[in-house]
Amino acid sequence: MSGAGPQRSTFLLSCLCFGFAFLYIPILLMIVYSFNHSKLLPVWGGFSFRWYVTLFNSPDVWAATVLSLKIALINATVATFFGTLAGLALARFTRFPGRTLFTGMISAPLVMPEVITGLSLLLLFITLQQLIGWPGNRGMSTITIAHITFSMAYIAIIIQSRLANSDLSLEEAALDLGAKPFRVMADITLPLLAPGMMAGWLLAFTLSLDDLVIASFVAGPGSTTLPMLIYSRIRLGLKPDINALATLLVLAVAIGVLIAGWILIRNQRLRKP
Amino acid sequence: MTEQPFIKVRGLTRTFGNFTAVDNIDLDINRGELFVLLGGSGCGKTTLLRMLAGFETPDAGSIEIDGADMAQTPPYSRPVNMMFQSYALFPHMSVEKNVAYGLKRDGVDRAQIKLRVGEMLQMVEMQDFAKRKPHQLSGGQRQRVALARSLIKKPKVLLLDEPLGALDKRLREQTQFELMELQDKLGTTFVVVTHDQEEAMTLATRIAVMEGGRFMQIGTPAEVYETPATKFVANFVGSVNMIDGVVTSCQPGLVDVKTKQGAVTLQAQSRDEHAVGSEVSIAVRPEKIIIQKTRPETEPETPNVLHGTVKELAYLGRLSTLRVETDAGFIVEVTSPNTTRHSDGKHPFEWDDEVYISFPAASAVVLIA
Repeated sequence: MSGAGPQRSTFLLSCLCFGFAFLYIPILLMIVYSFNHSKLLPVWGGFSFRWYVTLFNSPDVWAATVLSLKIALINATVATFFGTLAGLALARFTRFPGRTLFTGMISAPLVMPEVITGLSLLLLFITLQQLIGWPGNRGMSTITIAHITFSMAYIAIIIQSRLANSDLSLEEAALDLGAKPFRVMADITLPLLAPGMMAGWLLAFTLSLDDLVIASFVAGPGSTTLPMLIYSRIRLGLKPDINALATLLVLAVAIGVLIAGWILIRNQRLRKP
Repeated sequence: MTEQPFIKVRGLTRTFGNFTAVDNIDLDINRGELFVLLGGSGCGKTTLLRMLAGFETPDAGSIEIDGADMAQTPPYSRPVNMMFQSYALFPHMSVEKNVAYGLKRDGVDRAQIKLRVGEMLQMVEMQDFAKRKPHQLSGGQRQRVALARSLIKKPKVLLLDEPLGALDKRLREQTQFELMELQDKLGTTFVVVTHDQEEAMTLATRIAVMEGGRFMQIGTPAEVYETPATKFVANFVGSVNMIDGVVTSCQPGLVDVKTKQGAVTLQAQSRDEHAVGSEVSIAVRPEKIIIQKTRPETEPETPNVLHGTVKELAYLGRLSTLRVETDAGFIVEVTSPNTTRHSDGKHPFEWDDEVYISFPAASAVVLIA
C-alpha cells in the first residue's frame, strides 16, 4: 500500500504538468515573442519593448482599445443589472407557469454557437431597421446590445446559484423585524448578492473584451473592436506588435478573472466559518 | 371578568398541494405563557408558527393577537417577532447592528437605539462582542444574539423555532433555564416549536402535542405526561409500556383488562366509562413499575403483580433500564434508580434473574386509540 501513494501522485503530477503545458505554452510563447526585438517572428533578436512602443503610437489600435473598453464597461454594467433581476426571478419566485422553460432558456446563450447568436442578432437588427428605422448604422450600440444578451445569461446563473445556496430566513428575519419588502431588498438581499454581482460584472467585462465572432456579425464600418483588429491584422500577415497587443489583452483578462474568482472564494469562506 | 385569550386561533388551515400541513386548528394562548408546540417533523408545528409570524397565509381560519385580527397584517407590521432555527443573523452586519436593525426600521432615534441595544446585549451577556460579525461567534453566542435581536422591539409575542436545536446537549440544558428566566423577567408570551420532548417538558407552561396537522392533546407538562389522551401522545412524550387487552369489567374508577397476550388480568384507574368487551391498551411508564426479587405482599391497591425474567439490562448510571419478559409473554420495560453503590461492578439485577414487577392501578392509564 505504501508504494501506491507516491506512484499515483507521480502519474497525476505529470498529467497536471502536461495539461497546463498544453494550455499555457502557446500563450507563454506569444508573451515571450512580444518582447522580441527582431521583426521576423521565429528569430530571437534580443529583449525589447520595441513593439509595445509601436503599439502605443498607432492610432487605430488606440481607437479599437477605447471602443472595446467602452463596450465592455457598458455591457458589464447593464448586463449585471438585468442579469441580477433575472437571477432573482429564477431563484425566488419558485412557482410560476413556465419556470422550467424560462430556466432552460436563460442558459441557452451559454451553449448556443456564437455564429448562430451573431447571425440571429444581425437579422434582428436588420429587421428592426426596416420596421422602426433603428439602428441607423450598426456600430458600438449594436455590439453592446449583442454583448449584453449573452453576458446577462452568465450573470443570471451566477446570481441564481448564489440565491439558491442562501438562507431564505435572512430575508424573513428582516421582514419580521419591520422592514418592508423594498427595504429588505436594499438592506439584506443586495448586500449579500454584491460579491456575486461584482464577480458577474468582471466576467461580463472580460467576455465582452474577448468576443470576436458576435461583434464581427453586428459591427458596422468604422467600429472595430480590439479582437476584430487583431484578427484583421493577422490575416495580413503576422506582425510582432500584435503579440504585444495580445499580451496586454491576456493580462487584462487574467486580472479580471482572478479578481472575480478571489471575490467569490473569499465570500464563501466568510459565509461558512 | 374572564380574560380573553391573548392569541386566539380559530379554524386555521394551510395546505400545500395535496398535503394538509395544518388542519382546522383552534388554539388559545394566554398572556405571558410559555407555550410549546411539540411534534415530529412534518406535523405542522413550524407551519403554524410561520402563520403566526405572517410568513404563510392561511387557506382558512383566523388569527387574533391581543384582540387584533392578523389576517391582513403583513409580517413587518405584526406585534410579533421570531427567532429562527438557523438564527438568520445578517452575515454582513456586526452583532450590534443585527440587534439594532428592528429599532432602526421603526425609526427610533440613534441615542435611544444605542441605549437599548446596549441594555439588550448586557441582558444576554454579549456586550463584549458588539463589534463582532456573526461568523466570528460560537453557536451559543449566535443563539444569544438572535434572541437579543428578536426581543429588542419588545414584541407582544416571541416565536421561537427550535431555539436550542443547534446547541450541544450541555449548553442546551443551561440555555433552557436561561430562556425560562428571561421569559419570566420580561413577561412576554413565548411560543416555542420543538421536536424534543424533554425540552418541551422543561420549558413549557403548557404543551400542545401535534400530529398530522392537528392537536393530539393540549395541557401542562404533567397532564400530558401523566394522563396522555392518546397512544400517540403517550409514546411521543417519554417512554411507555403499552399492553393491549379487552375490558372485562368496569367499576366506577377501576377498569379490569384481560391482556391479549397471556390473558392476565390487569387493573387500571380510569375516569371514563369503558364498555365490557371493548379493546383498549393499558399504558404504564417504566419508572412507575416496581421491580423486586421476591413476591410483594399482595394488597388490594396493587393487584398488578407479574412474574418474569430480566432479558435486557442497560446501566445508565443514575438509573438502569431493564426489559422484563413476563410469564404472560409480553415484555415490560422498567427503570430502576440505582440508589446504592455497587463498587464490585455488580448490578442489583442481572440478566436472567427471576423478578416480580408490580404497579398500582393508579399508575396505569387506559387508552382507546
